[in-house]
Amino acid sequence: MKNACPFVTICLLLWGILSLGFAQTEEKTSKEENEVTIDDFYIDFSVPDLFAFTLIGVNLNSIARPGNIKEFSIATLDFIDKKGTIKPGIALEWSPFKTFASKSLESYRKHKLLHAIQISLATVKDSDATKVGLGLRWVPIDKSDSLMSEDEEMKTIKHLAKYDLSSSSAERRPKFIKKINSFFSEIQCDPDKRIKLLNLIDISNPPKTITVEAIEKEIKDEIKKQNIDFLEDKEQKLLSYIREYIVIIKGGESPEKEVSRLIYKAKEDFEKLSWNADVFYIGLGTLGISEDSTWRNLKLNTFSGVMGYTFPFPKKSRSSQFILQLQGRKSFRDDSEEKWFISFGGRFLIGNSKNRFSIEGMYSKTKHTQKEMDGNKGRVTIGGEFKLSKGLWLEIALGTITNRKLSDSSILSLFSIKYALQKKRRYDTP
Amino acid sequence: MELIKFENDGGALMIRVEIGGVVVWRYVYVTEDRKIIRNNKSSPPYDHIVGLPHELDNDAHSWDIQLGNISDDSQDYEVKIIWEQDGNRIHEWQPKKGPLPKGSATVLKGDALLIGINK
Repeated sequence: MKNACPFVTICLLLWGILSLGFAQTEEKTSKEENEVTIDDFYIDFSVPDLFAFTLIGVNLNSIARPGNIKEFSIATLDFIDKKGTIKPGIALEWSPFKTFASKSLESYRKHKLLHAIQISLATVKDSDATKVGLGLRWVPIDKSDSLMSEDEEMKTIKHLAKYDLSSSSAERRPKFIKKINSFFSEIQCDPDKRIKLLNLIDISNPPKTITVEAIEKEIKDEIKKQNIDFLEDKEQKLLSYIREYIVIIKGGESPEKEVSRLIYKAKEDFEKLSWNADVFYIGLGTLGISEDSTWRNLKLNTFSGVMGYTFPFPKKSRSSQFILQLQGRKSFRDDSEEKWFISFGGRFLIGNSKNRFSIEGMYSKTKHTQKEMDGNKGRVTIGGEFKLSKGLWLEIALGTITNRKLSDSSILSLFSIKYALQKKRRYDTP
Repeated sequence: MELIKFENDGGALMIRVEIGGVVVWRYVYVTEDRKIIRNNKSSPPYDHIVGLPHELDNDAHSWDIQLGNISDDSQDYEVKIIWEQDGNRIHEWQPKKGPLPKGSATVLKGDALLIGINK
């Protein structure tokens, strides 16, 4: 208990500071019920690898995949060690700012760097003992963060979510027609051709019952037919304006449903384009062990630090990603078996926002009192990450770990379930 | 979507809104910097200046025309908008006609893209 106390105190103190800091904004939150909130932007990205498992060194992926910060996530881990023993583990991750801060987009953007902090706790059973990891992860760069994005998809969501369905749409339509028209002007499309394209989206004269997707297809076909040279990102931008315009024109039929559907589509597009975006994180924590698995006898003995960077590879690819990671641990107790540990590795993923395969390699150096744990090691695994349902992800991996000193290698078999706790949100994805 | 071509060297552009057959109506015509609103209680004329040629090239205009029938009989409405420059008709929104059942209302919506041409 002597060693565990400071951390319990730190946690309570942190909770207290954050609670006090946000007490004023809670009242505001209730007033914002009818405004666009950060929840409206929630995208069901994969749950990131839980940091506390990485701290302990038992993460399924030794190269952790950072990512879109969840308010609260849990992960279970069952792995078979080289003796064939199944070791269970559980980790929790919590972003306190997401819980207590104002839900307004402006507040989020203002306090973005605080929102990017997560507290992570993990325990792993090891015979009668339990290993515990406690850490703070900070993700200062996250280009998959929809709330900070200025992409067209997110602009569409922001605008649509705010869309006042009650007033006359005539006041809003000219702005969109001008935007769409300026796109066609840029590509030197003559006025008659422009009108032909604009007529495709004018669904009120004569009234047409047609889906947005069907109109998008018509527009794309017309662009192709007229040999209009369009870059893909420009086309996406144009289509997002068109979607918005159609909703405004359609106002009066079932606009609420239409708005929700279009927001979902914009989120889906964003997820597809951003799942492998640049993310940088840094984490610090401490590890300990309780010989009899009680909190009273928990002895913290090691500091740990990790930093990782993930980016699309090759550049601009939407189907692959590379992760680089550097990790170190240093014991601060003389009786610790592991004195220090350092590792460097990379992981390559190929797939999409919902399913992907990965191959990873890591090289590590350890100073340990046990001979089989001491020395240089190489680890290679192949695996996959699959979305089972909303917020629920399955990870599996197989691999080998080699101790160069002993010329010994063993097989690794890993299995993990990760879950992000989610509340019911407006504009939720199915 | 209407394409309205006007002469860059000409005078101001005007619109004339003609609504017939119904007693209750209201229209909103919106340009980039003007919003024209009239209803059945407004006094005529229903001619409006929408801008000078140099202000209108590549401009977009939108309008909503609400029609209501508060009588006990069906009414046949007819609505059109005419664009004029220097007294000449340069474009006409195809007249919208139809029956409006008793106690009902409808909204007619339209948009136009305006392009200036040099003669």
